[in-house]
Amino acid sequence: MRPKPHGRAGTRLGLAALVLAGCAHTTQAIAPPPVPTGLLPTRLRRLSNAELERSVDTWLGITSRLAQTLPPDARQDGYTVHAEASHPPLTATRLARLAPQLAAASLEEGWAKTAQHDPRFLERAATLALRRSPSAEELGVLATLRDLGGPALVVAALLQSPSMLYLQEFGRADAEASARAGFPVHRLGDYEIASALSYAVWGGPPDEALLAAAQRGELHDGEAREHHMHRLLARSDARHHFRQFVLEWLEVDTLEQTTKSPELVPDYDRVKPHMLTETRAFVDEVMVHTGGSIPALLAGRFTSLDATMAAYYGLPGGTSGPRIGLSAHGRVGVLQHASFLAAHAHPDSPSPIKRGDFVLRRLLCVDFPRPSELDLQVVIPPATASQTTRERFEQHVSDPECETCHRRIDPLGFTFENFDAGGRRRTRENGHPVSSAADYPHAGAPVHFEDSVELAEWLAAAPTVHACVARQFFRYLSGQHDPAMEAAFVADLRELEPEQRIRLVEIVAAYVRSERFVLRRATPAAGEAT
Amino acid sequence: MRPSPIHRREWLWRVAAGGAAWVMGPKAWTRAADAERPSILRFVGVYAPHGVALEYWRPGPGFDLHGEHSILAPFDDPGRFGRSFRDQLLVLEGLDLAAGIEVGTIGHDAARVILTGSGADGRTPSLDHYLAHERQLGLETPRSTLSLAIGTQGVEIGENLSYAGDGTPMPSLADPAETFAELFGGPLAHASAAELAAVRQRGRSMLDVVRRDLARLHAEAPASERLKLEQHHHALREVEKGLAHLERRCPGPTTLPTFEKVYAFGGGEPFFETITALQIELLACAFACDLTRFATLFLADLSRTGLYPELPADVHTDVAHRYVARRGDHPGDPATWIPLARQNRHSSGHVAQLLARLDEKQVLDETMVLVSSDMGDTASHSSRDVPTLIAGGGPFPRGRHLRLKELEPLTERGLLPNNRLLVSIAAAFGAEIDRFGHAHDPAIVTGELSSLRA
Repeated sequence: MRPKPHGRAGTRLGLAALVLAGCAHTTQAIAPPPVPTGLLPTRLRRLSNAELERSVDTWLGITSRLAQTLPPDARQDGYTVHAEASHPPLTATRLARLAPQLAAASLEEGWAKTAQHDPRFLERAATLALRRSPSAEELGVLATLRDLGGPALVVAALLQSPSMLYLQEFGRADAEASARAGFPVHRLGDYEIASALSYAVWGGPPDEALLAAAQRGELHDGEAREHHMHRLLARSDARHHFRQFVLEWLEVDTLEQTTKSPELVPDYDRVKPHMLTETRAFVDEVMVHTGGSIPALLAGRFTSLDATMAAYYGLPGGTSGPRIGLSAHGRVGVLQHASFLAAHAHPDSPSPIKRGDFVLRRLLCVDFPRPSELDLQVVIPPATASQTTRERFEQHVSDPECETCHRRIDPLGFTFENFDAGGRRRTRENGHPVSSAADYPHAGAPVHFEDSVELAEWLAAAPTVHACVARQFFRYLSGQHDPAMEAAFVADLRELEPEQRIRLVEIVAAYVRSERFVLRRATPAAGEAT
Repeated sequence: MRPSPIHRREWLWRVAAGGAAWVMGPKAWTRAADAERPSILRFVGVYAPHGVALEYWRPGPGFDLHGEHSILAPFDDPGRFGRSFRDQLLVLEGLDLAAGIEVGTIGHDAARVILTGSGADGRTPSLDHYLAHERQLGLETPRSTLSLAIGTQGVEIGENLSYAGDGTPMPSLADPAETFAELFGGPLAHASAAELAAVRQRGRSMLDVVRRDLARLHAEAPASERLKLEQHHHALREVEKGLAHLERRCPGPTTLPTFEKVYAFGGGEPFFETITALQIELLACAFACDLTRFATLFLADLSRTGLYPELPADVHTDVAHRYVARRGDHPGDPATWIPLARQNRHSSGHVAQLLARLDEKQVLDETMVLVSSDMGDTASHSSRDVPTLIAGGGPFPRGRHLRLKELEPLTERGLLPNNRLLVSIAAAFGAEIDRFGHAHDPAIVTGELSSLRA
């Protein structure tokens, strides 16, 4: 099947061109659209631990808990999915130790229990593990292995195969696209597209329907890719993937590693898991009911609480459950979840700097140099019984060396001052009333916020924020961290209707059906000159 | 004579109790008294947190380590550590983590620079990895390198000293039980020769399949991914070495010490002192048994965990961040120096404990221990003038305090890159190189520290 040169947006342009061509009664060929700028490179991306666990569990029909057993992912910019990941010796030795156990578990109670008797066992195992058709040579080697150690040895070997551990995105040279682009461009192969699609959409391997579509060569068509995307999204386990994006983007997935002063939050270790449960449930609600609306994530007027969190928030009894409205209690969206507020605070005091810095970096995509980069000596103002946190930190704006950056960071952080370090509401600190009102110097025209509810509502409506979240989402979907590629991706989204480009589901749909998804900027192969 | 194994609980108790007597008997875990075996130089890189209160770090006249509030006092404390290590110590003042400063990999991220001589943009290995894997000095031992930590698994760039050839951090072992399992074998420790042979055959056949797949990828992959695949190749070599060394090479406990929780802020707080003692003990055992010759030990920032009873609960904020150094004409705030010096001395005690254990197992003279931190002035998160020590073996004359900025040429920005120390250490291991690490300014990565040998 001949690949379509463009996705839905391109289709619209193409139809317009066809109509014009028809009016002119000409047979002139339609000029293909330009090759997208900022293409991902040809590459090899190691799966994250979570992706690997889903791959193993899906194939072998077991619950491996591999992500908890392997050494943790080395992160890039807070994200576990990224193309810089490698396969360190400790991971290799541990996987070598685990692989026979996982194979045995599958033979005992999983996929391999019946599949081992299938005459096409080797081919099926290799196809599912490697996510492509195995070559005759590979099948021959696996047959030798089976003769030596039975199906368990075959499964154990495949579990450690680089083709299982990495997503391969090499593609083949596309002369026509290269000519249009003016640089070498590769088009991904059938199975490469299937894997790229599957891991982007649900963080797991392609199912049999997707592999079959790849075998039939159907995945070069953007609409077909989108069809499979929606099909995969309907799986209940697809939620994990989107949920994990939000948790990593908010920097709350490492909440487990935070601590609080026992005097402030005596039962913090007990409450922490419930905080994360609230945020996970909220993200799921937003994904299911709004298609992942960015405004709803930031300013949705509901949450999902269990009894522990209801008590922690000081709500009247009986207010726990799904879709509880908390706006009357001064909380909207995910930024007023205890998980976010506690993750961005000190053990014994809230941190307007951490909270303001987060809003700038992860919601407005503005980066600042750290004080040490400017050779500035930082002494955190000591806590005193006579001042509020805000009063302690207001010296920033009186110090000319600090003022340049902190006049933007601090007001955003101060809007959260009515939440303590554990994320509970407060009206007083050290006997003094707290103030969460602040003026943020946005583009030269200050914006006044009474508190972080108003900030959240402003952020939820800001196109700059939507673009920044889309940029963060692209990092997660593609595993590539490159400002030029991110900017090109965000520019693509301008083709969408305004109400579409604020929804994560629509953003991923636009991505998978685009030419960007299947084209790669070719870098020289290992044997070629660099 | 092979001593009989003991059980975990007893082993754990004895190590945690900090007793000088080694649980396996005085000779069992010492380096074999083999007169014909050539001396082998080993390497341990140690990270100590919170920079340094420089005012109390410098040795006094005559290399006196007992000045008021002296941070280095544990190195001359025979009552606590069995002997003095004063003559084993080389104090290096004035090194800068220059490659990190160049690209902003500073402050809490700068631990990455200590052994790599590279900022976050560098795709180069740390010295331990370079010597063990790329110079192949770790090929003979079951583990090429060993990366240990307390309270963290070290996958953030500021939480690790050891980095692979593509610049990615090598995960660390934080749980002594895992360290033990990695070093002293799992369920096959007591298998018969026939069983071991069968395991080896199956394992090598599996590896053959895996290697074929790796070779196919290597042939087709873009050149930009070659480093990643080379690291994968190194990783498979470690798996293969594991098959070659299935037999237990050292007598040891038959079961593993276990802790319910071992991570910072994850419930491991009450155990960190014991965990530190165990990790140090296991590291020394690994060297004595020649299970590895290259290791790192990351004494993570464990403040806010109530670890230091004589200091505020939040050492990070209430001690490290409050430090006001003497700077130029500014006299600083002496009241803030003392608590930081106390915390620094606590770290010195851990290093002295490591030296004592290595000495007890007769490998101290063959082990070069490098100790450093990610910061000098911790309050300003400065990666200049990071406190650096060399102890144990190696060719550099010790018992000295070198103010390196007065002895060595500086870069145009007035920096003395730690890369030169790494070049000098590499030379001590027979790797004659003239540059190490990655930086945009060639002056940062080039040259050695000539004053080390003087």
